[in-house]
Parts: sequence; C-alpha cells; structure tokens
Amino acid sequence: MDFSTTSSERRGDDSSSAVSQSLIARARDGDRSAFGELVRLHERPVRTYLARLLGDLHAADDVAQDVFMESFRLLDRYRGEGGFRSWLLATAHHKAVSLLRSQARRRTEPVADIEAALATARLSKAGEPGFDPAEQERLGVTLATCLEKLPAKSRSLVERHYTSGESAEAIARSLGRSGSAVRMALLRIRTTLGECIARSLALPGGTT
Amino acid sequence: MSDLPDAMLADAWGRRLEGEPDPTGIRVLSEALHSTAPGSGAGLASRLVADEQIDRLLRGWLAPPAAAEQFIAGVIAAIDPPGIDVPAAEVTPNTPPLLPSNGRSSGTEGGIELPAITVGRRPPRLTSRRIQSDRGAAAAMVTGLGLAAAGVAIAIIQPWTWRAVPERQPAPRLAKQSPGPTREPLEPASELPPLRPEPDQIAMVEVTAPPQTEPVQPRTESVPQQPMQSATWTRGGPSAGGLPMGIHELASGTTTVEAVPGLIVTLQAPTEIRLGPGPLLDIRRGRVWATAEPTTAVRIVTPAATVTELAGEILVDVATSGATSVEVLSGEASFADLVTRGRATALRQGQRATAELKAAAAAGAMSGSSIRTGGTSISISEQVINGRFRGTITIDGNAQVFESREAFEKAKRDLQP
Repeated sequence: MDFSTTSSERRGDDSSSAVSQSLIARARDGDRSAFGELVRLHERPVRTYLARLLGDLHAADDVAQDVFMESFRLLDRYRGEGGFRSWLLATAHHKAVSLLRSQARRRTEPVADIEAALATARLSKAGEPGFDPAEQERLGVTLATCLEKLPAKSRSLVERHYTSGESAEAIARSLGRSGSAVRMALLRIRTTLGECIARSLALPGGTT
Repeated sequence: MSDLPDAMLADAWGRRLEGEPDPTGIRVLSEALHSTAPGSGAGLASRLVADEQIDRLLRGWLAPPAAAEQFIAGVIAAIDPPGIDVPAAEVTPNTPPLLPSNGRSSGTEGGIELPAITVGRRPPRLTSRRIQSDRGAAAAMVTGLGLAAAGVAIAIIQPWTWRAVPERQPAPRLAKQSPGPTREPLEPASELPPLRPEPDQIAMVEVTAPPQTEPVQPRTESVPQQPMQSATWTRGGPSAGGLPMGIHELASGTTTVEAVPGLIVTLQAPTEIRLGPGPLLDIRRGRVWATAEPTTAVRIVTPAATVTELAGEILVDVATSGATSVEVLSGEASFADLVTRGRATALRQGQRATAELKAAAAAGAMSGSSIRTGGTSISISEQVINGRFRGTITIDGNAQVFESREAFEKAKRDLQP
C-alpha cells in the first residue's frame, strides 16, 4: 500500500486553500452546499486532530461537529489570516482542552478513574510539540514517511487493522495467532511509528 | 513508549483502543494506572496516551473516506437546510396520476426522490438553540434569519399539520426519577423493519398528525414500572453525578436518570445510548423518553435522525436498523433526517416523525417526504436524472408529475391555503 500517496491526497491544504476561500465566500452568502464542501475538505484533519487530543473517537466527532457549527456561525469573523484549516484546528484545540479539563476533574468510579487519569495525561500532552495546529500538515506527511519505513509484514498489519477495519481478533484468526499477540504486535508497530515521528519532527524541515 | 507494558495490560489497552467492552481490562488498567509501582501511575498514563495518539492518527489518516460521510451528513443536518427561493409563478398543467398508491410516500416509488420541499437558496439558518442563543451581532443577525426562515418552514408545514392537530390532553411532565410516562401505543423498536443502512441508502421523513376526527385518547401504554434498582447495565450506567459521558447499555429494566442538568431520560431496555459533550444524546437503539428544559440545548442523534431545540418531552424509538421514530409528547422539537440532510421540521405536541433507511430504488440521490393528516396523505418528491427534472406531488395516492421545476414549485405553493 502506498501510504505516501494516500496521505498526500488527503492532506491537500495548500492546494485547497484557494478553494476554501472561494467556498467561504459562497457560504457567507448563504450557500449551504458550499459550507458542506468546506466540511468535506477539512473534516479529516480536524477529526483526526481531535481524536489524538481526546482519545475518544466519539467525543472527537462530537467536538468536531461543534467546531464546524461554530465556524459556520462565525464565518464573518474569519479574516483569512493563517488559513481556514488552522482556524478550525485552533478552535478544535480550545474546545478539546476545555473538555479534557472537565474530564480530568471527574473521579467517581473505576471507569471514570481511568478516564480521569488518561485525561490528565492528554491534557499535559496537548501543550507538547505536535499539537500546534500549524504543524498538522507536516504531521500527515511525517506519518506517511514513517509508514513507508515499516517492514512489509508490519505495513500489512497496519493496513488490515486501520484501513480495512479488521479487528485484532479477526486478524488473529486468519493468521492462526491469538488476539493478544496481534494487539501486542500492533502496539509495537505504533511504538516504532511514534519514535519515528518524534525523530522526524525534531529534524529541521521535517520528514526526511 | 520505549518500555512496553506486560501482555495482560497490552491486551486490555488494545481492547480499549478498539472500543471493546472489557470489564476485566478496566480493572487491569485501573489498577496499573493507580499503582505506585515503577512503570505505573502517571508515567504509564503518559505512555498509553502517546500510544493512543498514534492509534488515533492512524485511524484518522487511513480510515476509508466513506467513514466520513455520516459525520458530514450530521454537520449539514445540524445547520438548517436551504429554504425556498420562490420563482415567478407559472400556470401549472394538471397531469393525470401516473403513480400507483402504495399507502406511503410516493418518494420511494419508481426511483423518485428528494428532500421534499427543499428547493432554491436563501441565507442559512441555524437550528441549534445553542447557536442561536449565542451572543454577538453575528449571532443576532443569524438568529433573525433563522426566525424568518422558521416562519417559512412553518408556513409550509402548517396546512397539513397545524390545522389538523386536535386539542390533546397535556402530556404529563416527566419528573426526575419518576417512572416513565404513559403514552399512546407506538410501534416497538423491535418491530420496525430490520433494514440495514448502506452508503447508497436514503431516508424518508414522514410527519404525521392525528386526524381531526380521531378522539383524543389518553395515553394508556406506560413504561414498565420498575424501580431503578431493577435496571441492569451491561456497560456504563449512572454514577453519583448522573450519567457520565460515554456509552451506556441497559440490558433489562427501565430507569430514569438526569443525564445532565436539565435533561432527564427514561430508558427502557434493551437500549444503548452514548452521552457526549454538548450535551449530545446519541441513541443507538431502543426506546428513550427525554425531557429537556428549553435552556439545555441538547442535541439528540440517532443513526437516521437528529432532534434539536427540544423544549418538552419526546419519545424516541430506534430500531436496530437505525430506523427512528420521534414523537413529541409535550412541548416542541426540531426534527431532521440525517441521510437526506433534508429540511428540519418543527414538531409540536402530538406529532410524530419517522426517518427510515430504505434501499435506493434508482440511480442517483433520492428522497421524499410526506405529510399525512386528517386522513389525507400528501407526498412531495423530486429528482434529477440525467439532468432532467421530475417532481411528483401525490395526494391520497393520486400523483401529479411535473417536468418543469417552476410548475412544480407553483403547485407546491398552491397546496398552501
């Protein structure tokens, strides 16, 4: 699987900024379909960014929806500086941090306890490198580069689990292994990717 | 995460990332996260979150584009649809009925489509009270547009709904921790057709009001009277502060809880809901009574529909297929289907709306709406196939087909008193 192609196709902020401006102008004039196109253009980076910050995919989608609804309401306040996507991501960051703060305060039962502990860790990471909205495009390219560096078996596992949506149990059955073994393998792959991304982001200019 | 957790912890963590219910794993994670042993506690939480971030990054960037469609539909549905840009009037030729009646909306017949009365453009309005109540000049301007547009929407729905809604006995308010309300029998969620939503499926919105001749019936079906203790949760459940955010699955019994301040829900098993920020009540299946104060600004979503501006009490039935029925027991609410992204409909006390997922009968987007009242059924649909417009208005099974959009619009306007 050509991860670099996949990611770069979905990245598209530079090429789409002019498109965004045109769509924003139409949306300001009341063209709902134009706003729908804006959502389509930017939903993936916004949702991914929120999912990383919040951990919870559902909560990420809920907040992302709020972000888009708020952006629609406040379109007239958007001045065009810094790019529309960065504006969306900054709004997303603000909302996510607020949510994490409230989650970190909740400690009432075992599940909430786990959530509170993780929310505290997420909150501290929200201020770390990698969560600057302006860095998100670079992150996508970096991920693609690191995926290409994985051994073929690992890439295949990533593709089956994340692209095709196969569960660890399903993959395990087809490979004649246990679900736990597949989960551990995925954990190792993510660890490798995380280290690769951290190294790449630390390099000047990024991803080489 | 240079030092990996042990196999049991890694397994519990992996299951959690996949969203699998895993009570044993919760205990393992909880103990590890709150242990003072080396490699546990805050350090472990930080390493797990680092792993989680890579997992979410992969899910976000590698997920198939189709996974985004429902999200996009949800955003669009939350922003009110375009209204009516009334074109110059034109004489409407009467054409003979072409479509047979099937007792339902003709929007599903012969590949005919479309979100009913939604044509043309106007400045968007916002359905969310949360948005409308926001401060600032921009919000005030948008709210003004919203009110004006709401007038347009009501003017269209009114002929078939308002006139036909008889005086009903006020629905009893649902008190906190009270047993569920009594109500008219509704089709149980389990009896709704077992349809499975597919990307190319469409939704049909049906708004009904009781006929004028129908005597007012006291609501006789009540939620099984079971104490809260009888409720069995297989996932989640209330805590001291109400319902925590997340997924809650009620396996048996009936229970009433204040989900968030101002929002009281009664759940009848089997039910699965998710409470999200906002507040958002995501009803995945089952039967839920929801009572909200006007200031709560709760957003209720199901696989097929979304309800906003709830001020009062509603009953929501969600079949396993995602087919959704919403009945306003008191007060009012705004209802919109998620799949066609059609017009939001204002529902008042005694009115019911359904959103069903049906297989598309023909190529191209297809949707329709029908309004039935006083024994008269009116369906309006439109579609564009190969660039050719085709609109259909069906009254009690008699269909008129229009190949001119202007004529179609004129006919729709003529339906209003």
